[in-house]
Amino acid sequence: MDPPIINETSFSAANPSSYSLTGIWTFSSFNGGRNESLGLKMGSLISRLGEPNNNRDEESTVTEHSGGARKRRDANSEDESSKLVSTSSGNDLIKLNGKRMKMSGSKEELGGFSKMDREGSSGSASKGGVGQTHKPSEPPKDYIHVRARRGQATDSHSLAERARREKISERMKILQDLVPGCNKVIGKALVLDEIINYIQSLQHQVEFLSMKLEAVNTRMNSPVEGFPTKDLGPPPLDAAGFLFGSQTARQFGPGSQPEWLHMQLGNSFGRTT
Amino acid sequence: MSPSQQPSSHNPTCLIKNRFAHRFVRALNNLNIKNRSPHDENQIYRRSHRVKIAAYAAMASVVGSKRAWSRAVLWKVRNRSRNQGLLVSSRRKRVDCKSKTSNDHHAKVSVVRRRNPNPKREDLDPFRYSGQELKLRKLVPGAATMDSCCLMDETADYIKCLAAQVEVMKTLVDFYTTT
Repeated sequence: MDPPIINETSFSAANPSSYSLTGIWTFSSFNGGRNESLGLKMGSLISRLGEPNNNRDEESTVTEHSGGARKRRDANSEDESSKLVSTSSGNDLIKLNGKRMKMSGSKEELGGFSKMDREGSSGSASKGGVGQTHKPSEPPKDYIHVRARRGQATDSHSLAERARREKISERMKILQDLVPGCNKVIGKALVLDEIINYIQSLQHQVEFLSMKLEAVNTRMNSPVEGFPTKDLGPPPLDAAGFLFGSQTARQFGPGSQPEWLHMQLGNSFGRTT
Repeated sequence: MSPSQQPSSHNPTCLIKNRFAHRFVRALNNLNIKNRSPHDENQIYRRSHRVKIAAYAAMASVVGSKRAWSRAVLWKVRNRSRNQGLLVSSRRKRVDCKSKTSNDHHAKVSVVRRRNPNPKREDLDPFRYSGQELKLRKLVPGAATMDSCCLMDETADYIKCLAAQVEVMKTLVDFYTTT
């Protein structure tokens, strides 16, 4: 029963201390004995996870480690209350294992150990499977860049849904800034109501203004009805020029230049008429 | 001219307002030229409707085809002009010719199909969205077939443009009434 313990502890305590290549090797080979493809994947995942930052490793190793401790208790009913002791012993065992690796230099031997482990205690193997299925749920966080808080679901669908909701609420905030008097309103339904009312009022205003413009237009149009179109051109042009000359400073922001507008409008109307 | 153009390009709403005013005044001028017939009272509503559509079309053409709502407005305006403008009479003539030459039934069917180009109404599932969102979808042009994220984006842009449009139209009315 000694080799399985070595294997488990080296696998569980591989991360917190200096992450050595032997840890990866033992882990990958341990899986490789059971399932070739999964073991390779896990090995690559661990190597990817292990190298860039240490914090995540510590997170993940806590669970793994507790699993390992449980396994060990199952295997030979050895009492390990504190994790620190087990990690230290694990480190020692890693060194031992590394020496053995250097000596043997082959994965097959360790695969044989893992096989022994499986034969020795099938319950511990299943528990190891549970502990490892927790691990693949973490890498998606690396790619989607959505951080799940405590208690939030971490599968890909809920992550995507959360990202979408965040996007929508962000847009809602932009809309709230646009609609006057909408900042004080709380609640999505009320905000939407406010937005709808604002759009409706704007559309009604457009309708009303177009009616007014039509009336004014026809009234302005009637005196020059008899004149040819060439004479009809100037009044609106002049009107536009005067309009923007008088009101741009107030209505069109600080940057606009009435002279330029006048010139442009004048040019355009010269072209069109 | 270039230094005075710079500030307007810095402020996008200012640029939109300028362009919209430009186009709208031109469209009004065209309408004036077109409507020089002696006006009767029955046509007031129709003419104001035309002015309104001209305003919307001017705004949509200023925004261009990069926005879904402006695309929808332009599509609608184009369809309207196709339905009510000169093209209608020519099409009717064509249909008449067809009905004379071939059987009537076939021609009628083709006309009905063209008149009813309702795009994907089934996509708008009434149980998927809340009542407010459905209302909003009816208000914003072309919003019937968007997802809600897109809808918010388009609504924000639409509100901006509509506010600018109202402002410009107000100044125009003020100016016309004062002179």
